[in-house]
This record gives sequence, structure tokens and C-alpha cells, in this order.
Amino acid sequence: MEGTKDYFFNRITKVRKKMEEEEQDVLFLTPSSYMKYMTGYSIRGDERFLAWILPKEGPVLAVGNELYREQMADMPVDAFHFWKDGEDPFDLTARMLKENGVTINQAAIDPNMPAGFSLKLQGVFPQSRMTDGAGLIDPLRIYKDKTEQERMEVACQKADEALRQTIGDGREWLGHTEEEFLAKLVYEMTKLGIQNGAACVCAGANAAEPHHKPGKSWIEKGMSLLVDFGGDYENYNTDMTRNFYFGTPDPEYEKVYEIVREALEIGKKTATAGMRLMDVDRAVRKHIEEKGYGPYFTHRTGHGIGIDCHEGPSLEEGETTLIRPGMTFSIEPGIYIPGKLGVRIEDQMMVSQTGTRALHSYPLELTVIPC
Amino acid sequence: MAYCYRERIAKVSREMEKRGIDGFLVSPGSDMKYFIGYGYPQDDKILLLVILKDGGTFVIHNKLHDIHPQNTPVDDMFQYAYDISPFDLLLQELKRRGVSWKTAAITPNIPAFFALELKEAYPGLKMISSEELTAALRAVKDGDEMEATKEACQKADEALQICMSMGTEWVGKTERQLEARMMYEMGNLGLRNNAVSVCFGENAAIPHHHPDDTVITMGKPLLIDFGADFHFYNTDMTRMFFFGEPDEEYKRLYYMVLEAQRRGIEKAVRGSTLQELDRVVRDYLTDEGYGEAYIHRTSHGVGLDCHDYPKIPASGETVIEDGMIFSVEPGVYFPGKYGIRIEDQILMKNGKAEVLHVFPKELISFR
Repeated sequence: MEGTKDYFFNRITKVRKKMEEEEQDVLFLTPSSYMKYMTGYSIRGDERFLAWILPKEGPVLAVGNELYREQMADMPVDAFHFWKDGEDPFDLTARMLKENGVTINQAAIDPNMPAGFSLKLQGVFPQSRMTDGAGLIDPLRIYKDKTEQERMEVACQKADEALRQTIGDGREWLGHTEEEFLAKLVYEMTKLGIQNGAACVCAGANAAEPHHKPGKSWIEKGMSLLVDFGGDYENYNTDMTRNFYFGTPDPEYEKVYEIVREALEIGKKTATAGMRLMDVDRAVRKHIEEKGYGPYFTHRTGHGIGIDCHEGPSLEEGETTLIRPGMTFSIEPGIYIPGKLGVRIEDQMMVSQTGTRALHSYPLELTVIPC
Repeated sequence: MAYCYRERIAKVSREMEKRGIDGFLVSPGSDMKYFIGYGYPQDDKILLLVILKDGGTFVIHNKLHDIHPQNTPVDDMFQYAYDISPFDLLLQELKRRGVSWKTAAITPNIPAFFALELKEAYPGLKMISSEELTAALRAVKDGDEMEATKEACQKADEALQICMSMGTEWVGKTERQLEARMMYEMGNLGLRNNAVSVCFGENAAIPHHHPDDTVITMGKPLLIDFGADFHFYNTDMTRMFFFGEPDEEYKRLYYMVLEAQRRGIEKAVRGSTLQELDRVVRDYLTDEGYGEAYIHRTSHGVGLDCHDYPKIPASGETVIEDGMIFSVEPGVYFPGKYGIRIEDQILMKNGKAEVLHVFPKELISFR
């Protein structure tokens, strides 16, 4: 495992410690967020079995089809075993573990491993008890190390840039549809290296629909546009929401916008190390309630974010997890009045030793496009 | 597009009865598209279609899933939010129907954690992969499926035409930029779940290369392998483009791969097998001295999944039947130099192969 990055070593050591505690003999990971975290391998899984295998001690192993030899090369692995089309990767896995002197009483499995594979693994290890491996890794993922923090920062800055490139002077979007805006935004994200770009683009009252699908609604003068978008850059996610208004904003819209902006500010101030995640949600919700819009804030205040867009503890009532350095989460208050308007402003926050800050620099004021 | 879902459900439940499979658990993916037309990908919340051997059907889904009774051909739909776990909902409904399971088929991409929970609830339960149940059914496409696939292939041809007609304008741009443009054009034509592998020069020697910031220059070949779906049905094709004047060796190798493909397509007749087709292609390339450079299989089924039924088993022969759709994609790879692959999709009709792409296959170079 020469040349393996320090952070993989650290993660492996920590996971092995937990495996010892929980009497897990082996951890099997297949392409998933867990595999990205433990090995950096981020290529989508397919029907060819590819696994990273961490016995509680001894050499770290990996199995994959010959076609993936080059892509797997950088994984933190002591011994690779490749199989060709026509060979059985599960037999190979069983033989390989036997050769390495590994007996499996209990195995931790990637929770996202396709059951088709876990069934086959059970078939070659009929005496082993298989359990969900999430508990070994989830607690580590909540606290991002320096490299992860840097990547998230870059991801967020690229998202800011993609939005800038897409909105242009704004006026060019009049007469175009939500779908077209979505296509352009994804295009700009892809050009900047953000993968799996997705966006919820909501014109006018569509923003009040909780899971609106961008469609053929026109962007017209006298309406708002809510854009909630993101993707991942080098495996780390960005997720932000901004709002635009074409023409002079409707007075009620402006009022609601200010309330949401204030709520976001309050949320950010509350989100300091030592506070509970639920405290942030309570502070944000309290402000919106005091302004008379309580029933229209219909979701949690935020979610943890990292390799998955939604991961780790959320910012919601009942979540007593303490905010600690290394955590990254969104703060995204919103007010939605069905048939009328919807406003949400979302920033991604990073908690460090020196405090909590937003990773985005895109302005938080309502962007008014004169027309 | 309205597919005949109820007929498909009826067929599979008859098969379940025959084989003594009590229940079929389907997670989002191609089987769910096939049986009830739900096409969103699996997310982090459980969504299940349950098919029973008596033909009964129900869906378990989260409140947030975009699935509705009016367009889901099942008996019942049960939703959960924070109140009950999807797993408990399943047990509840099975109990209500008086059903107890000894053998259940599950789609391979049901997450392991759910399967583990199922095993704990029914300790003696035998779980088998759904493939045993659906392989034969899905390998043979009906008329609607064939139409959708043809359209998908035509649109793929069109997207490629739009992008590559730019020719040397791509010089100085990156693989990523070409990928972005292809995705955009594909999206504009209505293709969904677009995936584009742009491989310039040495990168073409890596069969599953991911487009990166490699700059396109004169003097090397470009391989584009891309696919998407239209109304759920997939297209998957590969073409080569040379920037500049190709040398004799490249030309020779290109036409060799093209000839290998021609021979493969010729072998695609009813009664033949996919393995025979692969042998014909492989033998030819080996005779030419490039057997070692051909590092993957020649065909894969195409349909609701990019890699669909008929699937190539570890051993045995897969007989070619009318209605099957599969790729023919020989390639040779020289790490550090380049790779050449040419891929088309074939539909078996009236015992013969119909090539679904029209994008030209003579050697294309840009000067």
C-alpha cells in the first residue's frame, strides 16, 4: 500500500478498531459512498462484482474484473485479485480469503451492496453471519478531515460559478422554460467538473410545491425563480439554493424573502460548536413563527452533507447531536404558500476550530433582474 | 408510452406458481420499470413492488416518492413516513393476506440491509435472484419495446452527428467539454440518463475511462462510447474519429475491428448463440494477431438496462431468438497508445439481424 494517502490509513485504522470491538472479522464494501470514503474509488458499480475487503488484520484485499484494473490501481490495497468474464468472482473471493488465513464468523457488509452480491457471498460463506456495516463508518464520516473540507470548499465555489455563468444578466432567461434553465445549469456544472449535477428550478408559484419537477413553465416578468442545485466534485457534494426576481418584486414576496434571510442569519449564528443540531432548527423556526409564517415552513432546517448529498445527522427537532469541528451541513429555511410563492435560501456550512462559516460566496440578497 | 404492464405481471406470476416462488420483491430499477412503469432510480428510501404468485400486487413507498395510484397498476399502495418502517409495513400486509414465504425472489439491487432484515424476519427464507424469474421474459422484447429502442438509437445517431460535425473545432477542447456538449444535445433530443465516455488518445485504451481534462489535439484518435434511454429503452453505441491524418497502422487496425464486427453481425441469426458470435469475432482478431488485445466480451443485451437480458452467463450458450436486442462491440486496446472499438445495437427480426444505428462506420478523420 505504498503511496497511500494518510487519510485512508487513518480511516482504516479507526474502522479496524471498531471491528475489533464489534467482533467483525471482515468488512466488504462495494461501489458506494462507503467505498468512496474508505478508498477513493468512485466509479459507479455495475453487474460485475467489485469489492474492497478489509479483514480485521492483515493484508487489505480487493476483487474486481480485469477491465477495472487501471481504475482500481490507486485504491489502498495490499493485494488485488482480478477475474475475467467467464470466471466466478465469488469463488475467487472465497479462495483468496482462505489463502490469507481469514475465517469469517461475522462479516460487516456495505448496506448498499446489491443483495444479488450479498446472496452470492453468503453462498460461499454459508457459516458466516452477515450484518450491516454502516455503523463502522457512519460516525467517522460526520467529521470531515482537512482534505475533505478543502474539496467541499472547492465544490461550493464551483457551484457559485456555475450559477453565475447560467444566470448571465438574467434578462436572457425571459421566455425560456425551467427545463432549459436546468439543462444550462447542469451543462455549466459539468464544464466545471461537477458531476451528477441536478437542480430543482421553480418559476413563480411552482416554488411552493415541495418536490416540483422542472418542466415547461415559462420564466416571465413579474415572477420569482428558485434554484436549488448541486452535484459532486471529486466525490464531495455541494447543495445550495438562491432566488431571483424578474421585475419589481411583489411586496409580500419581498417581505417573505427578508424573513427567510433573517432566519438563515439566525441559524448561522446559532450553529456554533457546542450547540445541538436541533437548537439551530429551533432558532430558525422560532423566527419564522414569530413573523407569522410558522405553518409555511414545512421541512427540517438542514441536513449533513459530504460524499452523499444527504448524510449524517439532520438539523431537526429531536436531533441532540452536538455541533463539532469537521461537521458540514446545510442551513435552508423556507416559506411556501401554495399557489402563491415559495422562498428558500440555502448555504452549506463548515464547522472548524475557529468557528462556523458558509462555503458559498454567491450573494444572499434577492437578485432582482430589472425588466 | 403505454406498455402492457398487467400482461407482464400475469406472465411472471404464472412463472412463480410454476417454480414455487411465493413472492417477488422488486426495487427501483429495470424490473420496476418493466412491471409498473416507475422509472426513477433507487434513492436512500425503500420503495418496493411486491408480486405474489397468485398475481396479487402491492407497493410500499415513502410519502415523498413520486408514485401514484392512478398510474400504478397494482392492487394496493401503502405509504410510510416516520411512523412505521417499510419493513414492518411489508410484514403487516403479508400477514393480512395470510401469506407466508418460503422462497422469495429479490431484484439484485435491493440493498443488502433490507435483505438482512428480511432474513431475520423469516429465518428459514430462501432468497433467490430475480434473474431466474425474469431473464426469459425480458430477453424477448415486444413491439412497443422495439419501437422505443429504435427511436433511442436514432436519437443517439443524431446527437453524435450534431456534435461531431464540428470536426476540428474540438481541437484544443477537453474530453469533459465534449462530454458536456454530447449530454446537452442528447438531453435536448429527449434522451434521458445520458452517459458519455469520451476517450482521447491513450485514454481510449481504458475501456471504462471517465472523461477528464485531457485536451484534444491533432494526430490521435477519439473514441466515443455513449448511451441513454428514450421512454425507458436504452441505446449504446461506439464510434471512432481521427483528428488529422491517420497512419497506415491505425487504418489497418480500424478496418480490422470493423471486419470483426461485420463477421459478428453476420453470425447473428436465429438459432445461433451469443457465445458463437463472440467466438467468431475473437477467432478473427486472434488470427490477425490481436487476440491478447481484445479484453472484453463482444455482446451484451440492451433494453431497460444498458446491460440487459439476455445476460451472458459464466458458462453455457445463450440462444439467439427473435425479439432480442444486443450489442456487437469488438475492440482492441494498446495501453499508452490508443484503443479502437466499434459498437452497434442489433435487433433480431425474422431470424436475422437488423442494425439499429445509421451513423457511418467508414473511417472518419478530420483535417
